[in-house]
Amino acid sequence: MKRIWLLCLFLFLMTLWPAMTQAQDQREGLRILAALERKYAELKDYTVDIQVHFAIETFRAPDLQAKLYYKVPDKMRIESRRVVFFPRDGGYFNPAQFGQEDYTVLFLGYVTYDKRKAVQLRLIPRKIKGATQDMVLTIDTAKLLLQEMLLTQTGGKEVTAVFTYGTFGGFELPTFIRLILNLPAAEPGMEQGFGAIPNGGEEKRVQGEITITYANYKVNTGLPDELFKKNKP
Amino acid sequence: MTLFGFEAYKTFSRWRTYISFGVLALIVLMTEIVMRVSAKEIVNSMMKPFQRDFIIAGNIVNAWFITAFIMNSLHFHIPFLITLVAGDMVSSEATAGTVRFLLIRPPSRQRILNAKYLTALFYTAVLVVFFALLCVVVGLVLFGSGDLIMHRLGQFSIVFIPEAEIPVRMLLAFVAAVWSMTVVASVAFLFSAMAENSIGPIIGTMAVVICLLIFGNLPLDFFRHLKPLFFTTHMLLWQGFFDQSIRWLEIGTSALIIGLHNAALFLIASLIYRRKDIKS
Repeated sequence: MKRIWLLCLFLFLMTLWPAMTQAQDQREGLRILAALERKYAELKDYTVDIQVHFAIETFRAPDLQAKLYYKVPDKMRIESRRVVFFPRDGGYFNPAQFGQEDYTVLFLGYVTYDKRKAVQLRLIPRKIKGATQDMVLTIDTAKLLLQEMLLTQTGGKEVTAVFTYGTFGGFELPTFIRLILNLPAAEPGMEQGFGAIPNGGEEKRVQGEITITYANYKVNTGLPDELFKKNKP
Repeated sequence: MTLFGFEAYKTFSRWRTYISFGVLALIVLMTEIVMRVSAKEIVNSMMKPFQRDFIIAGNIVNAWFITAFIMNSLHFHIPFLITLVAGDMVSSEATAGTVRFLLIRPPSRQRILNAKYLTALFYTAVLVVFFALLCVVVGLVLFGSGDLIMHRLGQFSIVFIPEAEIPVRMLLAFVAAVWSMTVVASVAFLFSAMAENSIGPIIGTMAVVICLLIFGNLPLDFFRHLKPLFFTTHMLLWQGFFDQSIRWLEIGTSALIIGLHNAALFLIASLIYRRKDIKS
């Protein structure tokens, strides 16, 4: 009888085990995200010169230069005398954007990224504000650096942002962001005139890259809120 | 040249010649003023596919953008305004009863026809140049300058032309626009050489232009094969100057096809006019 009870207890604990492991992983994911947030807690604002380079077949533009202003938690402004197309998601570094209260965080596992240990987390926005429906972050666990971000957006868009860092004013900030795009060629539901004959159900997609180079960082200069009143993102 | 001078004087001394200029001025001014008032709305609707993915900074709705936008309607309203005069060039002599007085003079029929055709082309060029100057000057006053952004409606497709390159490209585009409109003048001139009144050539030319535009856009293989032969297909050759790199081969081919149309249409007009019976 005693043996049967022990067996039942063992089986009960076995059923709980995956849930316990999952909860532990979940806590680990949240801990890393919180640590990343703490690492940049003292970063209040920055100003940086940017150069945007497009390598997309259907997006023919020369390299564009502009000045980018950022202030926590989500204020951003692009200033340029010329016309500039700047990627809305993944185009600039905002360490305050991964607030745990805004996302459901799922731990995907540990990976090796650039020969270093990294963790992959999936963030699903609790309230969808922009085009992004979910994000997969690859974070270097030792350096606490966001290395890669895969954004899945509405309309079947996929954007992968790859970050390269330098140290400025005591903070590790991007010197280079490479955005790899995989987008539908046309907006959903847009007719292409008379010639819109279905092409065997195959959807045309646009693939390409946008690379953004960051230089001349000025960190924590006390940017006023008024600066962000026009052209808010 | 003297005959051309006389014909040009006759054409530009008629008040009806200026109807086209007035209509063009009205179209351009109304369009630009309305666009000035609702610039934000235009940017939102035209850049909708990009605004979700990009933050767009800088002056997009500028003089060059507006000019290119209005130029897109070139093949609709300008042909009609051209036919008003080109369709009247030869037939008006019959309507006014002056054809016999004109043709018993020493200059040959061919020389008279040459002068009239050159006048029709000259009028076409003046009309397009007037349109260009109006678009650019009013545009610069109302919207200022900037880079030119061209995009295909509803598609993830952008062409970005730096401000420094635009004046030359715009000039070339308008030269191409003048050339493309000469084919409409040639069609109207041919009908005018065939007719005894001006209404027929005007309606006939517009009917040809509209039919060819419709046929060229029908998704049927029969018309797809014929499309490269329609002059309406090549009337948009000016758009080749607004790609990232100028599409010279495409522009050259279209210009050549338009030139061949012009030559053929004028040749037919000459044959008809030289054999025309003016005694009955």
